[in-house]
Amino acid sequence: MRKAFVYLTAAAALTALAALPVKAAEEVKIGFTAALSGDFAAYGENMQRGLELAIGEINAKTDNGGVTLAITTADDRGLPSDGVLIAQRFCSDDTVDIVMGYSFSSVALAAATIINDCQLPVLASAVTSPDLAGVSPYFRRNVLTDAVQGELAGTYAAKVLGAKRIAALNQQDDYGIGGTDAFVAAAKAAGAEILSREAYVLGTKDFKTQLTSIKAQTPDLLWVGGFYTEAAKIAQQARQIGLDVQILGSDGLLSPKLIELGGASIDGTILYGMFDPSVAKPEVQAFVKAYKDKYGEEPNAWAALAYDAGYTLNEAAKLAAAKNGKVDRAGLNAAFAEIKAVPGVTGPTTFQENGNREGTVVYLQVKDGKFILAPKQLN
Amino acid sequence: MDILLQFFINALMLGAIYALAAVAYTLVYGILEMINFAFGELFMFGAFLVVSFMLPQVSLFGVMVPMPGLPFLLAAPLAILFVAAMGYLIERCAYRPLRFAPRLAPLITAIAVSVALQNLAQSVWGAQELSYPSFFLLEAKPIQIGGAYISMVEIAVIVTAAVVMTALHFYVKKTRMGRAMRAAAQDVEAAALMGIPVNRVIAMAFIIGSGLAALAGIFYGAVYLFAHPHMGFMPGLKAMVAAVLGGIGNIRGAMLGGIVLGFAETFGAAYLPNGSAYRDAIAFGILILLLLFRPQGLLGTRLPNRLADRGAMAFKGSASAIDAGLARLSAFFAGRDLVRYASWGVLAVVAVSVFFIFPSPYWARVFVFVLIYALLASGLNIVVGFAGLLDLGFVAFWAVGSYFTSILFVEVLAKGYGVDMSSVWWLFYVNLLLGGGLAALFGMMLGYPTLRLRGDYLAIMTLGFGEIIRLVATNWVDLTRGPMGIRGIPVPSLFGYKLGSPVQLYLLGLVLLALAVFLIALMVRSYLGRAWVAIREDEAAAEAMGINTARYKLYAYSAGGFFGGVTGVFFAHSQQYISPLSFTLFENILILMLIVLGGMGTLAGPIIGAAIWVVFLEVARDMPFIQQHHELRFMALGILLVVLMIFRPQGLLGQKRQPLMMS
Amino acid sequence: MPDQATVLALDDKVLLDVKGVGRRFGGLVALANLDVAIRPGEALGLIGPNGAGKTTFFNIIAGAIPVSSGSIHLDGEQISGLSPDRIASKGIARTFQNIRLFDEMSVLENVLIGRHRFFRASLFGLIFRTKRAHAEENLSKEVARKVLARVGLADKMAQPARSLSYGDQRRLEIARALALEPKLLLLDEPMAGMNPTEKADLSRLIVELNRSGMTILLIEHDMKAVMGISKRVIVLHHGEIIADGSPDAVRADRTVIDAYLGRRG
Repeated sequence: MRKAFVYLTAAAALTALAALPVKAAEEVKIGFTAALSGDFAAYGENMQRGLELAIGEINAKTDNGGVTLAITTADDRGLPSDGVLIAQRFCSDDTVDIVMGYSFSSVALAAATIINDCQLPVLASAVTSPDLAGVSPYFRRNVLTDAVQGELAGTYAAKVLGAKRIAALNQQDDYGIGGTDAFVAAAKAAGAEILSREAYVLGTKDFKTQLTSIKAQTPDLLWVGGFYTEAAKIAQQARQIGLDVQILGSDGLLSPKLIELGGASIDGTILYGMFDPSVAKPEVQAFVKAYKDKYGEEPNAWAALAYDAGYTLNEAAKLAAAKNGKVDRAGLNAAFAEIKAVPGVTGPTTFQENGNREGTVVYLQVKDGKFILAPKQLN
Repeated sequence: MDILLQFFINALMLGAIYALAAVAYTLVYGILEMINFAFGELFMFGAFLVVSFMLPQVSLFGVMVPMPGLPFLLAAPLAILFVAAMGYLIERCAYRPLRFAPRLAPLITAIAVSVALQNLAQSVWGAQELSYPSFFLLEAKPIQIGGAYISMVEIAVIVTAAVVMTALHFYVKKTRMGRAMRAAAQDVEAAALMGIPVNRVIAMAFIIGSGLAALAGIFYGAVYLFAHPHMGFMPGLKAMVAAVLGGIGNIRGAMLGGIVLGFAETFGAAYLPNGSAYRDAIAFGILILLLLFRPQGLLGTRLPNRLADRGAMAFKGSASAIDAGLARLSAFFAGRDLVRYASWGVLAVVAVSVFFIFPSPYWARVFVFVLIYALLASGLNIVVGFAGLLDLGFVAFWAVGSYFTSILFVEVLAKGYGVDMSSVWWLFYVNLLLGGGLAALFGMMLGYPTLRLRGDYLAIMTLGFGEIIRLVATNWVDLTRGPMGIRGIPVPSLFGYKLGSPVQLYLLGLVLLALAVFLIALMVRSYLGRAWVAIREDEAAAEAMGINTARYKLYAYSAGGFFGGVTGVFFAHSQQYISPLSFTLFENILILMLIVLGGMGTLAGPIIGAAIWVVFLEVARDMPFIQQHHELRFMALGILLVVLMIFRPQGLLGQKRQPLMMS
Repeated sequence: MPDQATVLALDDKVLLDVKGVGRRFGGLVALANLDVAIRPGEALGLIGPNGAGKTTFFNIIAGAIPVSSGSIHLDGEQISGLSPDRIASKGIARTFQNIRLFDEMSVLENVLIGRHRFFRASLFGLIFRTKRAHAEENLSKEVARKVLARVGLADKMAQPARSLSYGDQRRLEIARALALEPKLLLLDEPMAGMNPTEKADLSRLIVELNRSGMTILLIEHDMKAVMGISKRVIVLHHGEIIADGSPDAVRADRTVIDAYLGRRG
């Protein structure tokens, strides 16, 4: 026992000595949380992959202002209660400087008070509930709220696409309801008629019933406020029952899986998003290639936003390190407020005071199994 | 007309898939009187396997593996064979050792197998949906009948289902094995005496059932063009409902039940107000109505044997090496006073937790969750552990308590009347009682229609009830704010002094748990508890001794519901936010498993189970392989429970004897 | 003690009155139009070959199976149509052919279940452990202990029921039924599976019980065993009563012999 103790002390002293001369890089530890098991683990997994890709690239840089990134992950199962627990876990863990992730708004909402109490900054990348705006001075997200997105899309549908008779389907959650509320209001204001609006639960497989009713209403546009998994099924089943209508979808559709799952039926679907995989910008192409090389699949909106969040964090961390000589929670939070127009695959990131991101969306269309920029954009 | 025709086609196709899977449930139930929850997962494996066989390469455990790229007509039978073999193995390893165990044991094992398989599939194939490779049926053009369309896949589904079920019908009627199956379905013991190889018959039922489930899964995947680890869960439940609908144990009934359910769902979703959002509730609604008015099902003739000979959860000692080791632990507690024993459990938790909670708010928060789950498990334990009634809808009570206080505080008082919530701090304490009382009332309501049913029927019925409550909470947006949830629920406070920190919440929770255990102990140690345990041990004998079993079952439901409701109130205020996502069937299964883990029908078991499991979940987060495969945590639980059920069904610290008298 | 015949003549008070009771299962007639009157203090034996309908008759009296026709009265009060627990509360206790104890409960707790109908304490009373709640629990425990002493299980009260020997389990079942303080005790083949010593012991116990005033209806497959206990025996065959009388008369009865030998009478 004694001997071991002596050795240990000696070893510790040596390590400490060895560490002294070189100034260690400032490690910024990310506490990542999302639903990583259960029905909806796929979205969380995409986010984790996007973020880990960014971290790998950043840490491979030779000169990154003395900042390196590290990550620890926790599965919240999409449960608010687990969100609370994980928030407390990250709060109590002094090494965690920032929380990232969140695949469901309700989890982030449950965690918000705790995160606020311990003044731990959050940079979320997939939660769009308007309730989260200004929920805490430490909470930010690099995704537009569904209200903003939906409103833009409603105007786009009526004014640019010239839709007169619209049927709407929405996912029954904060994302689908919030976006579709705004969509419906904006489309009505722009002169379109809303023929019907129906909700479905995330994870629904069979849409034939709703689509059969919708077919009887003869709409000229079908709005889908939801995720790609269901949208792919909606498109396919619409074709199966002979409903040939222009589909317009929210940014939850933006995933290569939409095309893979939807096959030929999805062709022609228009959707919006902040990330355009088709754009010939070099950084987008580099991202898509790197992601494919690493994970064997193409990135989607969840991955792209998480990837950008990683780079946005890096900017803030470098700024904080330059200012304070170290990166801590308070410094990081202050830096987030200062950084402007951090470039990324989803466009530049700037945060508003309430934690929302400034920005707009682009309209994409599925054409021959690829996303292209839609011929008509909202000006 | 076109629209009706299209609905008809949709309904028939959906019904055919349900019918195929329903036959699987009914075959096994007919012989073993056991609901094999795992059929839903075998359904999922059918879809995954066929997709895997058809693709040139598939990512397994994150590694690209070359695959044969078989044509559909080869891949499908191969997948079916594979799944049939899985079904056989599951029966052999997990269920057969429990053949003569109390009837709750195989049921809980089946749920555990189902949880393990789901998470296994996520580890193997990943969390993403896998898209269905195109094949000739998918490429064929749909047929147009007037304005309605029917695709070749749908035709194939309907025709194959019809052919398979006709074949099965003749198999059961005409072949020797089929006749043996029918004989075993009449009376397993008599069949065994007549020289029928019962083990082979049962294995065959599982093989055929698993094959049918796989076939249904393959078709389901082909129609909706995907495969996903959780795809089998809901269709599995629906197929089970279909089997009950037709009269469980009756093959033609299962077919009819499947078709009826397909039609009810399709037309209900189309014509009921907000029908599509509630479509999953339709199946459960029908189920509840059916069980109320015609519990034997549409075609069933034999009423579910209400007074089962086997006790619900009374284990005759099982000998094993593990048992011997753990028996020492039990021996330490055995014979000791019940309340003291429970206090030991609580004290142990407190003693251990004290070292963690004060230095770390995180561990305090973890133990708040231990307390919440311990409270829930203690409540459910009254129903399951003492009265021996399986309850898969217990989360509904939790939800009722949570929503009651949240709606009252936030939506009514703060938003409706502009009351300052901190001025009515005392209402929290009142609500603990009111929320509990309301949930107890729900318990009566849930209990009443289930009184005539025995264990497994009861399980499905309560499951349906729980799902309906969750769907109402999700879809009745005006009342509950739906999926957005209710936020801004005030933390508990005492004379204006906020009890919001994790340690304060922990202490408050501890007081609640201590009170709950104390109350439960007082109830159990009286004629009330004796009546519950008597019902659990032998319902017919209990009745013959003058116990009004229906009434005491209701008492058990209400008492359990009360504690569920109380927990809900505490949960809402400690978390300050609630949403329907918390009240899932999986959570209910989890709570049930905590009780099994700790020891059913003991006071300390639920607490110990909750402590072990919640702490394990948190500690496991740091394990490197868990960081990559989070779902393994739950797979571990599934496997642990199957092993526990076989080798130590009374739970880790399950003391076999509970004093049930006043001291 | 006056002999049976005088009792019948002097006092035709009836405890259990079974009138025209029939029971059909589908097309099968299990019991056809039975008329049985059991007098207070009587130990009536019910015998008959396998499948004669003895247990069905028992289950009908206890309410486990409803009657298809006819009526049953206990002390002038109709009990047919009531649920088993109500019938038990009115004072009919039974044992089962294949022992049905509450295995995981202790011997004493099993007997306390028999006391169930005497408990009145409310939930409030239970939770606050009022004097009354304590008093009734203590009273029942006292009765239970006495009953257990009577059947010879006083030293095994704390054991779980499942740990008892076969013979003791039979005794416990009887003790549980006695704790209900029944007006009528139904014993369904209590001696089945016992060795001769156990049989003799139990038979003595039943006779003692009857001497102390308990009315007993006893099913027994074994004719000899019944003869030692009952002064009056009913023979059931194919759901019908083919003989009713003293043991000696029944034993000599031609139809009974035919029934037992398997000839149809």
